[in-house]
Amino acid sequence: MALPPRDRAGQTLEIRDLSIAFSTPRGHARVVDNVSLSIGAGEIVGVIGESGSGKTLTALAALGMLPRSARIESGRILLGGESLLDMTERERRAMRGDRVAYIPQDALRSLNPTLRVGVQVGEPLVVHRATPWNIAKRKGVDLLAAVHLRDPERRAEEYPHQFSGGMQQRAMIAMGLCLEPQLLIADEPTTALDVTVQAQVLQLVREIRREHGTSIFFITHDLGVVADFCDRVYVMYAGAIVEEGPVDRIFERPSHPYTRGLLRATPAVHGSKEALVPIAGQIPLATERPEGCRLVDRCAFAIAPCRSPPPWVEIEANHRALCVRAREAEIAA
Amino acid sequence: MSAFADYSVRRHGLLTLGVALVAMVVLSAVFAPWIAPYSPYDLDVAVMLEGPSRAHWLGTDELGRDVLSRTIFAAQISVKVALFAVGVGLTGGTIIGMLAAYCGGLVDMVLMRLMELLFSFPAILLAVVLMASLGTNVLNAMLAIGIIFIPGFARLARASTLSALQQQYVEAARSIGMSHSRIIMRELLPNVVTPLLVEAAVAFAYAVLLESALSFLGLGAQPPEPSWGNMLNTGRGFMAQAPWLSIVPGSALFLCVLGFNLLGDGLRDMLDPHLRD
Repeated sequence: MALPPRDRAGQTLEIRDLSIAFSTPRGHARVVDNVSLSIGAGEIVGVIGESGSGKTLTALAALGMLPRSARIESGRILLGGESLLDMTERERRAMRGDRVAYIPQDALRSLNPTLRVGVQVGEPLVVHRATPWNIAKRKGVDLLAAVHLRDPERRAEEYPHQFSGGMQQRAMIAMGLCLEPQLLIADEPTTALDVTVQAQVLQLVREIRREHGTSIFFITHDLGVVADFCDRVYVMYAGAIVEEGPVDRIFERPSHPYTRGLLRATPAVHGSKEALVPIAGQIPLATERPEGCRLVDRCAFAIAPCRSPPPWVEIEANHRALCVRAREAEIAA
Repeated sequence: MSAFADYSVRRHGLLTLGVALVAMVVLSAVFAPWIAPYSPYDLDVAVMLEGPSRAHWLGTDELGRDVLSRTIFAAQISVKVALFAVGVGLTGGTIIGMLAAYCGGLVDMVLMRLMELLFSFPAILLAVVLMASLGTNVLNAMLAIGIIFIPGFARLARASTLSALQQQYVEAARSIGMSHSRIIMRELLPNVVTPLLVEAAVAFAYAVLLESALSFLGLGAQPPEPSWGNMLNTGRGFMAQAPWLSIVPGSALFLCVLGFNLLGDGLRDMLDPHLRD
């Protein structure tokens, strides 16, 4: 189901009707199905969903870094108005790290264990601007200072394994900031960190947005992080977006049964004392999705029309859900 | 605690012995003209096939040449051949293995089947065939031995590269827009080089042995140039009258190979992060 067209002029990232598929021994697997999303300048947009919901693949597609076996079946990806799918590999390479930066989940494994941190952090300068190494190294130290690492001069000379988890993630963020990209794609950057460090890293990302006007595409499965960090949120389920809207509206009035389920399965997001309710069942495999609404087999509110493709229902301004019963009181209660 | 300390002492002890033996061989090779008491080519028919004496510590051969001097000079050939052959094998194997792993698909298939083809011949047979077609001299011996080493290094380089490719830092490197060549040189190479260096030390021992075998068969260093292999071949004919002709170059070969093997094992233990600290 395509979103009705909206005015998206001046979006940093715009993905329209994107479908990505793999050929598997069990058959054709459409792991990302008609996903449309957009991120405006200086906006922090969360994409939330379980593992396997297609959020990471969507992000990799925006970087032009899908695995070789993946095929884009339809859709467009526009970065600052330029079509990524029409770029050559060389053009994409010139764009990655320069206009778009990626911050992966596991910082330790994302840093080269054989190189000193300072050099790695400044390396985008060498890759994109043909800067001499000694200047890139200087920049590395400055960047480490900018992400509030204590004693950046000394830290820059150390190897990644000498850093704590939080410091490694800061170093990755510093590397991402090197060329002041317009868009930062962060794939669960705080999942591997403990709560206090997580808060510091999020604080840092917010600061970056304020100072540089960077747009942030934030992938997570943590509703708590979304609640106090993002401006808008897309909820993904089994390869498709099922609800989108401003964060406060989604928490106030979750309209898709899946979003509601997520909220009820998360402790104390808005201080309620209700018992936690897990969502029954498993996310269906991409090859075994039901007809119609993809949640139908797990949904307590399913009715006969749910067996045919669900419509987008406008809940309020900028807030919509992919569910026939989205407006009904018993769901939105 | 004590068992661990004991283990560590034993390990370092062996590594030290290996380093000492290798140093002895390499220094003999480099400084042969200064430390050898005689020229390796000086004939002296007055002292043919004489046993160890004050004038000739390790005896003389059938032409009255000093065995000690010839053994010391022979180290030059061994070290030269081994260095060059390992260089050829390491460079060729690393390039082929890394390319196969990085490109994957058809390139990988073709390159690795070629390597298996080379692998399927016994090393000495392959060396003899290569020497026969290239011609018998030291340079060709070095090339032949180097070619024999390529598949081993290629397999190791390919396996290490494949596991490095799984690492997220390669994906992170792509995400900052690095080119393929930069990814290979900066991200992959430093992470695959350790096992290759260990393998190189062990290959060194094997190269020395192969060079001696080729010279023994008359395919490597040609007389009168001394090599442990052709000295052993000569000594074979005088086993009963003059056993030192075989024992001396044989022992030199043994100590050299032992030294490189101990060095290789020691390096592996030292560079293996699981055994470090």
